[in-house]
Amino acid sequence: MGIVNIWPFNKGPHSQFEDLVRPHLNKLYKLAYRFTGQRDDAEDLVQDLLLKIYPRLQEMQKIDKLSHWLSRVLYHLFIDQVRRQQRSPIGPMNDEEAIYETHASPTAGPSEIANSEITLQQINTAIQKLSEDHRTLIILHDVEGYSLQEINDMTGIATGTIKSRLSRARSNLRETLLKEEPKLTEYVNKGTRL
Amino acid sequence: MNCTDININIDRFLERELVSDDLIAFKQHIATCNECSAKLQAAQFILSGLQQLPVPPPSVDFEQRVFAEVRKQHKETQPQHHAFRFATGFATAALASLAIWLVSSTYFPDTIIEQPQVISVAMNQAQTVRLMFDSESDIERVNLSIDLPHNMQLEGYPGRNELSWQTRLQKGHNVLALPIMAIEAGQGELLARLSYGDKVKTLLIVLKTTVDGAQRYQLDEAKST
Repeated sequence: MGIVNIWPFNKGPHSQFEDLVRPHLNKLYKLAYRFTGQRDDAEDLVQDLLLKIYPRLQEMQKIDKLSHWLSRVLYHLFIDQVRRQQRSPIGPMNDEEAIYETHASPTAGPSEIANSEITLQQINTAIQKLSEDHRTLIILHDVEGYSLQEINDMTGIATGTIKSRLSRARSNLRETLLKEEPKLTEYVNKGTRL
Repeated sequence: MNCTDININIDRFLERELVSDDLIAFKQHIATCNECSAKLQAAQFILSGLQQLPVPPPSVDFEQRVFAEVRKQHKETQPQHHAFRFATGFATAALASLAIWLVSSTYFPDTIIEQPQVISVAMNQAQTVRLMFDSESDIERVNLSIDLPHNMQLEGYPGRNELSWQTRLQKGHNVLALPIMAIEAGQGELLARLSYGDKVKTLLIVLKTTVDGAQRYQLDEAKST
């Protein structure tokens, strides 16, 4: 015999909202942490997101891929905050990319360096040093595994542009890491794993 | 391919986009050039590291806090379409044997407690208090009423501490899932009355506001009370 629910009234909008969002909360926090690099900032970002989207409950209830939609809104909220803080906005190529061009010399090879002590923390730190647009692409694609098309849906940036920026972002990340930890390559060659 | 080509194509290789002749040429150069081989391995090493970057867990009360803030900043609005029917004209048929159980679980009931309990309820965050009514047969038009203490509120019904309605019990388990939230500190009694004809069953539960805002029912505390 099954269980019959004899509470005849619908849930209130807050419960509906929470039921809808709760399954995505961890993913949103994780993405927010990737963007911000700080737990408190990530929590604040998710908080701001929920406050922003609550009035759109009815719209949210009709969205097929709510997770993608939430991620997209989170991304834009983050970018808006970054712009407000007058840091590096997502958008046109910036000076760092020009710098990349000069650093992208094939002679920057690190083969003669000795053992490395590179850690995940160093990678994380190096990511934080990237420009906002490069960091976001690295996070979305290489860390979180979003496809180029998904990033296009989220950011509105053309897939070809994403691809070229991602390539530059990776090169910049490698440059940053090798500059700070020039022993990386040999370290890798010796078979050490993270 | 030469070293410059390798530099250009490392990401294409990592994305598995190199095909046929390009892929062969890439691998041939990597096999013969220590520097490019080292660069490729460094790139793979970093990529692997990126995929392993940890994320610290959020604060323990993160979920509760963010939802409570939403409730605070977006005040609950009264649903428009709910009508309460107050029970009148009870039938005279004998009441089937009814057992009332308190079921404490945020989700599907998995624990049944036979006696009224003390349940902790968080401020401004609805949690489901489930009451289970077992019936030996189908019963039409059973009257149910809920009296809430002053410090509690049914989500979506601000200011309504008494609700009554008629319902139908089916043979077996019938659950009354009440979305309750605390609106101020303190404790009080929730009375659930089920009546059919001249039979009445009353269940009393003590609801108290959590001090720490914990979401879940304090089952252990309830059992020892």
